[in-house]
Amino acid sequence: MDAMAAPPRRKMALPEIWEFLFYEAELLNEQKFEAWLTLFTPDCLYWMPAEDDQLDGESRISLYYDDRQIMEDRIYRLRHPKMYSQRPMARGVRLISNVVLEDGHPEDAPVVLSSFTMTEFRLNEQRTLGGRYEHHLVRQDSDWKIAKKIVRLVNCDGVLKNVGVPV
Amino acid sequence: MTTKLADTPVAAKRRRYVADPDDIGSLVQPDRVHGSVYTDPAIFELEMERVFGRAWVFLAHESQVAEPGDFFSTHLGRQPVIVCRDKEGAIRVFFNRCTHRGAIVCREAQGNTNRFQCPYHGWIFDTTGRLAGVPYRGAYSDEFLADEGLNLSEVPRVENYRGFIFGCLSDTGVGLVEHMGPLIEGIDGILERAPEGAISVPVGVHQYEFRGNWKMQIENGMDEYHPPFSHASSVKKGGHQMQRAYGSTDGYKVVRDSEDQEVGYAESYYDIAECHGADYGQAFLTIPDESRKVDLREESYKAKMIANLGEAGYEDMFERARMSNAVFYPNMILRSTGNVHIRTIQPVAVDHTIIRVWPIQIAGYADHMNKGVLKYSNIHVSVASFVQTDDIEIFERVQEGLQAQQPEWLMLARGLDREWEGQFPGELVGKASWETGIRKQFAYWKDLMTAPE
Repeated sequence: MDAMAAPPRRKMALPEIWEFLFYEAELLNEQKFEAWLTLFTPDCLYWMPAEDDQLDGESRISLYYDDRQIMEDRIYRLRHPKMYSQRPMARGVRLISNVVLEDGHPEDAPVVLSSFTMTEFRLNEQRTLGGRYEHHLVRQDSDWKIAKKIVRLVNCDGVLKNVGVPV
Repeated sequence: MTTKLADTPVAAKRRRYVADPDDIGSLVQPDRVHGSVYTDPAIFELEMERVFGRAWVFLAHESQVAEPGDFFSTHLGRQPVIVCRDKEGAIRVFFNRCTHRGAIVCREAQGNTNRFQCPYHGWIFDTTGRLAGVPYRGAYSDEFLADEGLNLSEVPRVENYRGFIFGCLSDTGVGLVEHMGPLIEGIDGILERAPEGAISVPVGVHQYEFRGNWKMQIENGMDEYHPPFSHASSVKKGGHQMQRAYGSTDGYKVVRDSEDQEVGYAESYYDIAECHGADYGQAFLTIPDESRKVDLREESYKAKMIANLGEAGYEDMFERARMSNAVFYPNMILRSTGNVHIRTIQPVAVDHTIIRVWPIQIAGYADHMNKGVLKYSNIHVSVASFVQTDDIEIFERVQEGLQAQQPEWLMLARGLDREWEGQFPGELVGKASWETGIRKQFAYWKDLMTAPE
C-alpha cells in the first residue's frame, strides 16, 4: 500500500444538492416513508453492503439490496401493526456532512459522497450508526431523483442488532 | 373453618410440577419445561459443560478450509477454536489458545497460513498444531520443551460427514452418523440435488445477536406454529409471504388468507407438512407444498439432472425432496431446499446469543439461481430482513417475559401422545405445528444434563 497515495481533493456539492440530502434525511427522521419513496426513480436501488469495500450486491450478501418492489414491501411492513420488531418504532436523527462530488459525472447525474451519523432510540436503548452515503442522483422535471443510494456502515460486517428502519 | 391454600387443587397441581432444585432432570417434564432453563446462569454454565461439552457440535463447512493451510476461526460453545486444513490436507480443530500464556494465536476470521504465531511472546505453531518455534529458547531445557506437551490442544473428536465438520469435546459416546440419525438425509439430499455434487458457502455471512437464550433459535428452527403470527407483517394478499425466491412470483403461501382468520381454525395451514423428532435431540421439518421446490423445476437445472439421472431418476429425486429445515442439536440449522443456508448458533451468556447465516451456493446451479439464493437471504435472514428480525424481537420478548416467576413452566404439549412412529429408532412424527421436535430436544438435553461425569 502506498501510504502517500491520497484520495483526490473533491469539489463541494452545490447548496441545492445539500438541501436535497437534508430533505431526504428529514423525511426518514419524520418516518414519512411513503413520501421518501417518491424521491426515488422507478428502477432505483437502495443498497447497504454487508462487507467493507464491497463491490456489488449480486455476488455477495447485503444487509439491504432493495429494488423498488422490495422498498414498497418494506414500507408496507413498517406500517403493519404487527411488525413486532418495530413496535414501538425506532426514532432516529441523521446528521450529514462532508458532502462532495465524485469526479467524472455529468452535472445532471452527479454522484454525491457524504458522511453521516444516525442516533437511534428504541426501547430505552440508544445507539449510533455511522458511515458514508453515496447518492447517485438524476435530474428529472427540474428536481432531483435518487437512482441509487448506497449506505456503507462502518460496522457493516460486525455482529449487529436489527437495522429495521432505512438509514 | 378456613381453606388452606395448600389444600386447593391448583396448589396440589402446581406442587406436582415444582422442580427439585437438586434435580436438573425435574426441570423437564413430558409436556413442559421450567422457565429457569432459559434464565438461570448456573444452568447455562452446566450446559456449556454437559450439552456443548458432550454433544457433536457443528463447526464449519469443508469449503471454508478447502486448501492446505486454510483456516477458519469459530467457537465450540464459548470456546474459541480454529478449524485448519494442515499441509498434508487433514482437517484439524485446535483450541485458539497459546500454550504459553493463553492469548489467542489467530485473530482473523479465515485465511491461509503456514503457521500461527502468538503476538505476545512470539511462540510459533505449524498447521498441525506442533510447537515449531520458541524465541530465546535457551532459558528452557530441551527436555522441558519436548516433554511438556506444548503443541496446540486439539478437540478430541472431529468428524467430517460429506463436508459438514463437527467436533465433540468428549472422547466417548456415539459417532457423528449415529448422532445425526435421520438428519443425514438433509446433507445427502442437498448433495444429491446439486448437479455437480458439491456445495459451498462463499458469498458472505449474515451475523446478528440477541438478548436471549441460545435454545430459542434452535427450537424456532422447527417451530411452524409461530409463522402466521410472528410474521403476520410479511404476509400479503392470499396468504403469501412477500419474500421472493427464485421462480416464486408470489412468495411462499403461509396462511389460508390472513392471520386474523387463522385463529379460528383448529389446524395450521402448515399442518400439511410434518415435524419429525429423533434421538439425540435431532429434528426436521418437511416442506408443505411443491411451491417450495420450484427451483428444482427450473429448465437448465432439470436438463442437467435428467442428463445425470435419466427422466425417471429425476422425477424420483423430485418426489423424495422433502426436508426443509434439518435442525442439528445443539447448534446448527441446515435449510436444505429453496433458500438453502447453514445457520449456526453461538451461546455467549444465558441471555446473549450470536447467530450466523451462510447462504449456500450449489455447484451446477444456473448463475441466476445461485444469485437468487443469496439475494433471498438478504430479505429472509439479514438484520434488515422481513422474517428473522421479528424472530429476534420475539426471542427478546420471551427472555423478558421469563423474568416473571409465574407461571413457572413453559408449555410444550402441542400434539403430545398423538404422534406416530418414523423410520428411525426413536423417531416420532407429528404435524408441522406440533412441538414434537422441541420435546425431543429437551429429552436429549435432560439426558446430557443429568448423566454422571
